[in-house]
Amino acid sequence: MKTSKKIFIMVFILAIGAISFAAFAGSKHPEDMGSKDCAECHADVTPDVFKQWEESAHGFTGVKCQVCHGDEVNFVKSPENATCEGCHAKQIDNNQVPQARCASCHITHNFTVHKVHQYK
Amino acid sequence: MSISRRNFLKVSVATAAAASVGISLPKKAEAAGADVDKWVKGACRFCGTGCCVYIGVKEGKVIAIKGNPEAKTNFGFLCVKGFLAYKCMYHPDRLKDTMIRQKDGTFQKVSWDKALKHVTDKFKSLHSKYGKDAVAYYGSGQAMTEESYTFNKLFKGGFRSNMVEGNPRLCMASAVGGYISTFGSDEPVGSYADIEYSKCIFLVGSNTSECHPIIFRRIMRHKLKNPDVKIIVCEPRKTSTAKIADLWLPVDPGTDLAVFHSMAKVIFDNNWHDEKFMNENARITNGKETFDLAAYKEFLKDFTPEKVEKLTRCPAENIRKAAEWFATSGASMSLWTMGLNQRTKGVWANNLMHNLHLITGNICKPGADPFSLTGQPNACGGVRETGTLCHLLPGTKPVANSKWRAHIEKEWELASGTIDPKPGFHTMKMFDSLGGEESADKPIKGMITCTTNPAQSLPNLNKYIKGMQDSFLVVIDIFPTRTTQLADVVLPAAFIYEKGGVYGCSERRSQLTEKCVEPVGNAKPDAWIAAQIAKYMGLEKLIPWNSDDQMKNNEMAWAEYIRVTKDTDHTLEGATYDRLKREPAGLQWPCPSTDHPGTYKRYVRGMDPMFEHAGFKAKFGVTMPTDRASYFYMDKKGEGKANIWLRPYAGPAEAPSAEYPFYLTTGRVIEQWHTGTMTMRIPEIARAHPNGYLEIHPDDAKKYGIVAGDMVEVTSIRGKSVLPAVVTKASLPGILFVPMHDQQMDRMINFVCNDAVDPGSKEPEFKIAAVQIKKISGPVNVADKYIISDINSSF
Repeated sequence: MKTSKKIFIMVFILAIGAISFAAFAGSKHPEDMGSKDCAECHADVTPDVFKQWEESAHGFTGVKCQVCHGDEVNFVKSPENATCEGCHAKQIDNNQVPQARCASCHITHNFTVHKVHQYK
Repeated sequence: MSISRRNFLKVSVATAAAASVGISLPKKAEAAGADVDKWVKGACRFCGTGCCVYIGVKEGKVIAIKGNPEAKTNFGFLCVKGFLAYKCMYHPDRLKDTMIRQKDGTFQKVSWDKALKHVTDKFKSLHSKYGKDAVAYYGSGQAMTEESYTFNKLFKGGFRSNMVEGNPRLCMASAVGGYISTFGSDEPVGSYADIEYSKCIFLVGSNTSECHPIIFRRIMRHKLKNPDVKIIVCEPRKTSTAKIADLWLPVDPGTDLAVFHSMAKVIFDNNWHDEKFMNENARITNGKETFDLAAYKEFLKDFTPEKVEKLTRCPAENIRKAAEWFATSGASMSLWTMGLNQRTKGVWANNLMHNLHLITGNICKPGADPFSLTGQPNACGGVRETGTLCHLLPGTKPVANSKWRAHIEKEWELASGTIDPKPGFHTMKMFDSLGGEESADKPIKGMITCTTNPAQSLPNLNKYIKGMQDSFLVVIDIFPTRTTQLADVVLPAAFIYEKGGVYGCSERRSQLTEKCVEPVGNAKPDAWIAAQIAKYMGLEKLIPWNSDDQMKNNEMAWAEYIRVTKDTDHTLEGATYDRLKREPAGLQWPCPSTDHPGTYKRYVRGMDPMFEHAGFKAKFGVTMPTDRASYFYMDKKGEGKANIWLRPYAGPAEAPSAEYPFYLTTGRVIEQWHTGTMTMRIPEIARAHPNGYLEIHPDDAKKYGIVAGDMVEVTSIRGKSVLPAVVTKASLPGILFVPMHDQQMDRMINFVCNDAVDPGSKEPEFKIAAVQIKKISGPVNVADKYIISDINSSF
């Protein structure tokens, strides 16, 4: 891939990141969660996301919805870097674009190359 | 920073891209993380993994926790508990004042001076009326090492009483018994670092993914990078740990001794054993006499996989495959925890795991190790190593050993004969012996508990509540609990990050937590409380670290502890406070000098410094031949050999019957810690597991007309509990599972659990009870995140 193309892609990703940062600031969970665990609903209402998470490194190691997205009162759609820093301090330290959220590039719930089929 | 060409291009592109959207890049990206005034180095508060953390402090409060990437245990990763631990520190229920129970049953706030005077006057009175053993200490594998050491010294050296126990008796005593009876010395031979060298990992009696999630992460990564590494899981439940397994060995609870023997038989039948290693490094014994290999094979002859399948429900083919992989992989590591330890045959189960390693030579080399994962963060360092149990002294040496007793008396500047040679009572006997002054059959009249919640965590609770209620009970804790509901005096404790100190994790690694912030309210560090009790009882010379500078107090206690134990096989003489402050990842003992890097593997010449430790050899009369690459130098027979034990098969104390047709087993879930007193106060965690529940196989559920959510009463001969049903194929039919964290009285499962103990380790059989079930009603919403908030609430 040509360098100019890479630059275009990076600019695009960062722009998306900046937009998503603005969009997610002050996010609120759309439903009253009651006493339910996140997975109780999300396994049904967002099955693709749930499956992606389940087959990711986070799914394997028990990093469940609440760890990144908080509880009802501190809910965020997109986790802040301070949350990712809990386990990925080195990556935060090495991050060359700290103003962008980790989630801007590590899109949705895949996170890494881990996949369940790799264990079978 | 070294940077490859490829990475350089990436960074260059990122820089250009960032500039194009108006972002300037700082050299350090910490600004993108939590906004804190400082990060303070410490250890995680929860399990025995020993994750190293940084605690983020802002304006005198802890506001964040992150993993330490330089740590040798967790490489920077944390589970949800460690990551969110700080959230419980400022919960409104934190105990902030000293309190004495009044005649009307309510607590009254009093000053520290009044509380300490009240406690010590009562202790003096009980000692005077009923003797030195009338007051007991019950501590914790979650207290700091300095705290356990201080209480141990106060009781054994000050009160001359060995009525000293701790909750590690309930979780790790069988592992201790296993290590000592096989190798002559407690704690693992190898380290977590063996995980990345192993070719086969045998996980048995451990739901590693939930109970040691950061260890599981290492195993998962190792498997991912090396798909040919075999993962075997041996468990009654197909837990989330089995997600990465190549082979599951399902077994009925308490029957796995037969599986281990059968694996040994298959190994011998196929000549997969390492006879040379066995001859040089081990003896085959039943404890009375030694045997040759032919006798061992004869002993194993009935443990054919087919016969064992009938006994255990473990498929014969799986036993054969597990034996093959274990013996022929080149480097096999086994890891286990409460599934083997909390058993009436816990020591034997540990011995038989060690047997498999000894007969195949899977020990004393990289990637090959029998490793007991500790449950609590400081059960190893704080309780096992400081000897804060009824039969031990610092250095994990028996109180009955006259030479070691004399050594400790000299170090503690006590008159010869001060320390009682007779062990005190083990935990279950201690609580069985606890009662009021009017109870002539209860010799222990008072108890002080520290960092533990026995009124919820003991098995067969119905038997022990009255003793706690009737006796003079002093509770040191940070929240109201079931135990404070029975207390006469409540002393508010500082949280780990409000006091600092050392934790020693599963892999012999000691890590220092610096004090980060001031304690809330009038809470005080537990070591300060112990030192003040000593002072009020006129024993300040024995416990001189009683100033208001807690890190100074900690350092004094630690310096004395490492001096007292400097010539033991557990030596930490080189792990001074100054050094622990500097070391990014703590130090593994043996660490005999300040220039020693710590020990990855014991008993191996060139790796273990005890081979050259003159003080140790002189003190314990050890001589080591120069031609042995490995040498088990704590062997009681002085031959440097480990014991391969011929242990007969024995099942659990209580097997299912016509009246009680199910096995019940209990355990933890990833979010909740023990009795939930801390974790249930963290909102994100409480939501994930707001209540206990009963896992039941669909076949059993159908038979009893139970559907998901139905309320089910589970009853043993000891007690009952009522829980909502979760119908799942995770367990075998006939086996029920309940997590143990719920504080709500009807859902406290320990009323049902068995308190029968292992005759060697005295550890109770939490893991196995025979029970019956009954559907009580349809679904009821019990997701109430129940906690005890009112200090004046009754049990």
